[in-house]
Amino acid sequence: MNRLGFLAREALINLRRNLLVVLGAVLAVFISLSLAFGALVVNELLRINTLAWQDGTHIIAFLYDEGQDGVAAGAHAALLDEVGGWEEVANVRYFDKAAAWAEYQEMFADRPEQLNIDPSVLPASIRIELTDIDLYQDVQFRLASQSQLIRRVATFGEQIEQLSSLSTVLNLLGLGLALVLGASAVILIANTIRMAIYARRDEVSIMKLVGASNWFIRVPFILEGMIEGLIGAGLAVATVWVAFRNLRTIGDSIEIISFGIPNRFFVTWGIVILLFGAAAGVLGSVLGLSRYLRDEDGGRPVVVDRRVLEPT
Amino acid sequence: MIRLRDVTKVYEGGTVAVRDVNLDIQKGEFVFLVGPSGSGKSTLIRLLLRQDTVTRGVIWVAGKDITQLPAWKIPFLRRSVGTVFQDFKLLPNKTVGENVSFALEVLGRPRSVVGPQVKQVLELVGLNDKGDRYPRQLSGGEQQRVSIARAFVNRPPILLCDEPTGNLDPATSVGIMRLLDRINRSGATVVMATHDHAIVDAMQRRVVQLDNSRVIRDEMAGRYETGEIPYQNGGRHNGDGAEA
Repeated sequence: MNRLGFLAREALINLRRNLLVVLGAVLAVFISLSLAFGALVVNELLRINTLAWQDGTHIIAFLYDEGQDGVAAGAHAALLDEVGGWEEVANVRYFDKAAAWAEYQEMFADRPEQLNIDPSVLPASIRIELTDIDLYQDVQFRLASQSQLIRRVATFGEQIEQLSSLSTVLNLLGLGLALVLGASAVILIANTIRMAIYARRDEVSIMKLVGASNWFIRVPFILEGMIEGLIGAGLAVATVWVAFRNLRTIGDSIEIISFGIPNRFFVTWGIVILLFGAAAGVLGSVLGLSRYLRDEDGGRPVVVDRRVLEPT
Repeated sequence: MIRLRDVTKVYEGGTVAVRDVNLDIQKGEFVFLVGPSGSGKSTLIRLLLRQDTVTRGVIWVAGKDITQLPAWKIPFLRRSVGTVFQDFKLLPNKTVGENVSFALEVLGRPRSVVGPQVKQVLELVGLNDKGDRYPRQLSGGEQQRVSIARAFVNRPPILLCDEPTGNLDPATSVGIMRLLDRINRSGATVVMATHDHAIVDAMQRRVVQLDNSRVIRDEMAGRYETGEIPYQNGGRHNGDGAEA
């Protein structure tokens, strides 16, 4: 316990001595992980909103009426069962003619002249929610094989494609920036550690003289890097969380966008980001230490001209 | 306690620092290493601490061949060897007490052990009332006492001193030598490299003289200048002044 306390104290002394450099490293970790975490949140928002679109309906298959055009009675139920069994499909609902008429009435409630139609012309339909929005073309293709039963297939393909590509671009951009800034954070931490070693070179040499093991000397520097990484990651998680809460407060008035990311998402990814920050800190420290605190072997053996060793 | 056999150290560029040194130092001995600058005194001390490796030969410390010691075991060697240097090597931002306790803390000694041991060793070196001072607030002699306290706080069986009086005036040097003598009389083996004629002559202890990288004299109760008993290459001292 005393040993642990000593190591922690030494790490804190290191941090205090190089405050400005430490601040630079913490900021680098903070910016890179904020971007990474922010990209994750935006991606989740896109996913939730795409899924929530049209009440979770990505594809509508309008059906021929049963008992007409050669469609057997019970064919709709059979199709519903079959589509429900497809792996691309998360959920499928049957929308009968009465439901279609109710929806029609709701849609044109403010235009009564449009309501003077025969409700029986409105077709029944099945409404499909996909497990992954990118799979809509596969499902569309499979539905096409049921042309004797399906009148028309409507998808939100264009919108889905746009959102999907936007999500991909955002993800790539976020990931790229996070990688570049993450690497710079690791390098900055490595530099911080090198400066800390340089600033404490007298202490390190005295520690070696009195018999401290190399790991005992290294641990405070590794702890220092880990603390820098953790502080940067903690700030990133807090900033993204606060920014999201504010955005949600503003966004509540915009009905078409859902901000319903569960707290579980933030807790899980928050922990991952913190661990990542700590790992980046440790990696930076190890890189910083590698050059200056190699296992001491008392100097490298020197290749000597044999004549030098001959008796004189 | 310490045994060197045919020890040769050649630095990069072919500079021979020590050549074919044979030496036996018994437990509890006080040995002066004397000789001009560049004769190899400090190299011998560095080799005994494994700060350098031998080019040829073998060194045993407390029965262990330290030339074959793996890197991870070097700290264990250094825990049994206290070191005192001319430039004190104190940490300026730590107090006297902290400088001394540092040596125990890095070994992971519990606080209950560190406190009393530091107090005891500060009493030994006569600095028990200056534990809260910083090195800059002390005289050179006092700083060297702190350095000795740090080297001895772990009660190592061997104390290596590289010119410990090199930066001190003669009167202060006498005080430091009295302290080292006291530590030696408590059972520790002391090996001290020095240029100080007066101290060597006054102490009348074993003198090992190096010149041009070789041991040219090994004399019990010797003086700084050439004594009566010449060193014979390959000879073995048995600790009582006779050649083995």
